[in-house]
Amino acid sequence: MIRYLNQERPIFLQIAEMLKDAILSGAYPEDAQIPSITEFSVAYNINPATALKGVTLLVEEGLLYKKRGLGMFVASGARQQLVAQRKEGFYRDYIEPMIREARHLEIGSVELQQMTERGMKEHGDRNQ
Amino acid sequence: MGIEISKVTKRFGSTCALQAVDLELKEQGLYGLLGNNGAGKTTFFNVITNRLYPDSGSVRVDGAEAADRDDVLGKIYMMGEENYYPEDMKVRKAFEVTGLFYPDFNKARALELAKQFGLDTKKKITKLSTGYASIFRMILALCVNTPYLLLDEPVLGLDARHRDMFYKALIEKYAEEPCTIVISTHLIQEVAHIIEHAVVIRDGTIMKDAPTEALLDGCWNISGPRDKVADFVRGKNAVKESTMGGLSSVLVDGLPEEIQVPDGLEKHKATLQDYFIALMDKEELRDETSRSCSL
Amino acid sequence: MKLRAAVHYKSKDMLKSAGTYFIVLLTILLAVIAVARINVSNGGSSYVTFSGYTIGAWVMMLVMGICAIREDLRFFIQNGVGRRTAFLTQWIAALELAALLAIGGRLFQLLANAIAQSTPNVRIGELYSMLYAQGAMSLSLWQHVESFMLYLGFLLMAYMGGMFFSLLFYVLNKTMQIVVAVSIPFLLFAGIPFIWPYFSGPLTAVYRFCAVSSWNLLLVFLIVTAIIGAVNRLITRRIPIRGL
Repeated sequence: MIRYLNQERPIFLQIAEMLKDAILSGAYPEDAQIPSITEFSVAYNINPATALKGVTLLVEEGLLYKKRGLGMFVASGARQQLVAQRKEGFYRDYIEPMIREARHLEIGSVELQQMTERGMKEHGDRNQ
Repeated sequence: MGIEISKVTKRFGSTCALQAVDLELKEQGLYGLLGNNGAGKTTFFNVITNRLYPDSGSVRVDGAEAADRDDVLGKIYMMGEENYYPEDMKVRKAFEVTGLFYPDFNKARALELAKQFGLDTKKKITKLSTGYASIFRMILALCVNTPYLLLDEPVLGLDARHRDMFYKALIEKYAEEPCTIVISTHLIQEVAHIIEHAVVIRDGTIMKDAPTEALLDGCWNISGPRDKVADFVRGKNAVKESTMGGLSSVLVDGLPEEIQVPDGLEKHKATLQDYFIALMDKEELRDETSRSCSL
Repeated sequence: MKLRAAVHYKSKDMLKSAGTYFIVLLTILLAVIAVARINVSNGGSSYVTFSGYTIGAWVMMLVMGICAIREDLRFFIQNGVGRRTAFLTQWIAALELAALLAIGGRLFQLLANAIAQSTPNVRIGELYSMLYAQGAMSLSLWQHVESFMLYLGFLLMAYMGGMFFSLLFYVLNKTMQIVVAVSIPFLLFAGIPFIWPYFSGPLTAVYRFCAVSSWNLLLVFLIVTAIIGAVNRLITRRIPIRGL
């Protein structure tokens, strides 16, 4: 889960993003405890307040919850919620530009569907 | 309550090390005192800890005048670049006697850190290499548990691995028991994400004093083809420009977060180091004339 | 609170120094007596005089005064102890060491006296006995008290004097250091004989005053100590404390 921070975006957002990835991948299963703020800030050499800000973002989204005196835990249903969140993002980030580009290339909806199915097959469709 | 420094001026002969410095260090906070060599960082710390008396001005800690008061001086620990321990004192002995003066000194933690860093506690302090002398002082600083901690160029002479270990130990201490920590350094990139408040000092004058986030708010690097960049930054607050061939990159202050750049240009968040260098360059241009102490 | 810590820190060193000094002097004394005995057994009749304890202790206090102040100011400020407390600690430490050496002086005198009984050609000299007891080796209890007090003043003066020179060289710049270093022997050998006639009146008066009793001499020692001490305090009040 440890990855390098970059300068492009605020650190706390990167921490939040990294946590979401970890929940999505199952590295932090639901109802499991995540590392403490101290551990996060030490691992990334960042100010504890920044780490807290990143974690708080997930608490606000209901992905994490706090057990008093114990620490932070992954909420049940967090993965489900993230998948839904990402699906929305998937539509915006990939489908919409794809449709735009398809229009440029005069690809119709039938052809587009065929291409999608081809892609699914070539990469081994897990849903079939 | 914090440390209040007001109108502190300190001269050495004709050079002015500190010039009417006003600064407030709040209770709890990780400050970076950023400045080039000779900017006055060490003098500033020396005045706070009463190693030096200022020519004028005062230092108050938690509301009390600090000069020559044991109860006040005991709240501050300074890790300097120089050795303040007797020449024949051994590391272990220093760990022992520190507890006499600082009741909250955590000796067990000091010994643990010494082991981690590979510091030989049987050695005389003055016989330690530059790196290990820094490590020795740093370990004491991390373990005395005073409400105020001043670290003067703490990683000087440390190799990359020890630096990383130091930053981690520092963050751990700060996260577990928040206090006021001021790190003076000219290695800005290394502390950029650790500090939450930046104080920029130059020629004995405080130039900036703000939370790092606020300082960098609206600071962007705009890069791309020279002409396009020039068109875009026209009328905006361009702080520093660097060009290479037909490409250029300009640091602009005061751009809103959501501003869109035209196709072909890129925008990146400016780092603290970018900002610091830009600030220094600008000042260098401003006063090529001689500097003198104003009273 | 810090004063107690600072005194505690210094105390061990003082105890160690006094102990070392005592053992060294005792060893020398035994060697002197052995030499005297060999001399006697070889039919010799020469007297051996040993009066090193007082002057040795004085020089030791002087050196301690020179060495301690800068080191202590540095160490104490690093540990959050201010100048005032650091200076007060110097007084307490000096008093402690002077007292230890003065008690040591008494013990030394008694011990030497006991050993010398069987070695008649050994004489043990010391400050008080030479000045106020015609060099007697066996002193009364009151004389021991007087001697102890005299030592105390004499040694304190040495410590404060040493501290003064250390501070003087600390605050002077390179040129002035050389000027002072050169002028000290000059003043001693040329200056004093030169100014002597002008001050012979008051100085003779002081000498007469001191000759009356050891308490008068003690008073003079204490006055000198107080003056040097006050100057030392003035210097330490605001000097910059630098590391190495």
